[in-house]
Amino acid sequence: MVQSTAKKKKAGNTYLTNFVKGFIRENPIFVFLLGMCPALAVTDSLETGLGMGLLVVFVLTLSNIVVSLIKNLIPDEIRIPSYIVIIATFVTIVEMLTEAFAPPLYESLGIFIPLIVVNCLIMGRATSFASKNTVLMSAIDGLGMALGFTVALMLIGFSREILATGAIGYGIYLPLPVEGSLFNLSYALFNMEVFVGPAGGFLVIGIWLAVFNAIGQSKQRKKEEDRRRWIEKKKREAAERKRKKAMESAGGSA
Amino acid sequence: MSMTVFFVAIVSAMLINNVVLMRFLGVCPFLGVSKKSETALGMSAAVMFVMVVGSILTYLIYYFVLEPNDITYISTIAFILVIASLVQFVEMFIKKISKKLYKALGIYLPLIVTNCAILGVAELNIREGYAADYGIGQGLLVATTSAIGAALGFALVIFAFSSIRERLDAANVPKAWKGIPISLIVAGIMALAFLGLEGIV
Amino acid sequence: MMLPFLVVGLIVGIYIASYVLNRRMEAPLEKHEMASEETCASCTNYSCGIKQNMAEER
Repeated sequence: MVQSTAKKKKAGNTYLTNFVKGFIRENPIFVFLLGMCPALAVTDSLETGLGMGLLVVFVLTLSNIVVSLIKNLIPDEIRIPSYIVIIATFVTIVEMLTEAFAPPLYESLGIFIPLIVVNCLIMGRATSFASKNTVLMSAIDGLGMALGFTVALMLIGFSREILATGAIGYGIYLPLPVEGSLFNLSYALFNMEVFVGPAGGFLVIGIWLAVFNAIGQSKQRKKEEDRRRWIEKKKREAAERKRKKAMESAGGSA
Repeated sequence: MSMTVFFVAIVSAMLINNVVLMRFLGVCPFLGVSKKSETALGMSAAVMFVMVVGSILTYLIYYFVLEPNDITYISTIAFILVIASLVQFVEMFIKKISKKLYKALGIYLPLIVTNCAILGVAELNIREGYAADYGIGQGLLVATTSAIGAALGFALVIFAFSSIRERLDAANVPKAWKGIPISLIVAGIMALAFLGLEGIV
Repeated sequence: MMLPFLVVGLIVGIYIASYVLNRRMEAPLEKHEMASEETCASCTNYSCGIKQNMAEER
């Protein structure tokens, strides 16, 4: 009984870690640099980034489920062609649904909806994860990875939008503290339109990557420091013990 | 139809609406295989060939099979499969005719299927409506010309970028910026430079 | 009504046939010179570019 609950708990944990890994530790954009084309092209605002992310959530989860369902049926030789067919089918479905139910999103994403087919993230998850794991695991993996992708797109979209227009997303402006008072500041004074253009995408992603690199490196350094200190401490203790022993033996002989 | 149409199509696709820096297509190979200028050239040769032939094929399929039968909604799945099979045929052909050519281009061909520039240019040719503007026959010529322009633009940018990266390797870059982050900043500056070409045509 | 399925089926057939033919045809290169085909086809940039570069740097 106890054993089974423990087992269940462990299984729950693996599901959870499988879900969470896409957000930070294995983030598709910031760690693996997958799907850079949409990450650069449709992130000029928070809104389009979120829309793109949700389409990828849909396609990646479903394609992972289907790939995992038929993993034993398809011969090894034609694995990659069948994955391409599956993914392209789901992308066509998504394309039609977006056109019907969210025409503004369809307009603003343009050719990047059909280009979900060649997004490295989806093909990569199909070959490296869904083709080897159970259906539930693959679904969770797809959902987590795609949500991590969405969060990254939203982060980039948010930074670009706030730098270019001062809005925090969906065209909402926070009131400036001194607006209309003594200095008459306005957002128009701080707009950097370059960030809404093509160059801004490269710059913002580059800066975020450097920030995450710096965080990762400082963590690494701290870890190494801790380890070094621990080793030194152990060494000192051992030396102390040796000396004590030597003293004792010297005392004994004397 | 005068020659200016072709000239405008090639310059616009190559410089003003550069596939990589302005349209963000093919960013993955742009970052992935631009470490050495030699590999960059191999990749762009392979891309150029597949892009031109691929956009001719997809154009023909769109206007002679999909549109007359009113089934344009399957264009995404049709295009990616046509491009993927084209790549397979090209690879077989190269294997057959020349060992040397295969050595130079062979490793890049499998990468091309998932290169968004190829599918993107094929889609763009349809969306720009060349067929509506110039008629289906001449539209094909314009579409082919702009595919050639796009491929030349890809080659130009990836070669320039790889040359910069070769120099960048020797530079003393802060540790957090090493590798991809500084390359992205370089690409951003290149995009700013290309922004200056807007309005030529 | 059946036409879209027929067209897609035909193209899928051509693709799979060409893929299998291509795989069965031996390459004039040694195996180790090629980057692993599966990983490359699955993801261009990570598997074939950056990952290799990272491995070289280490």
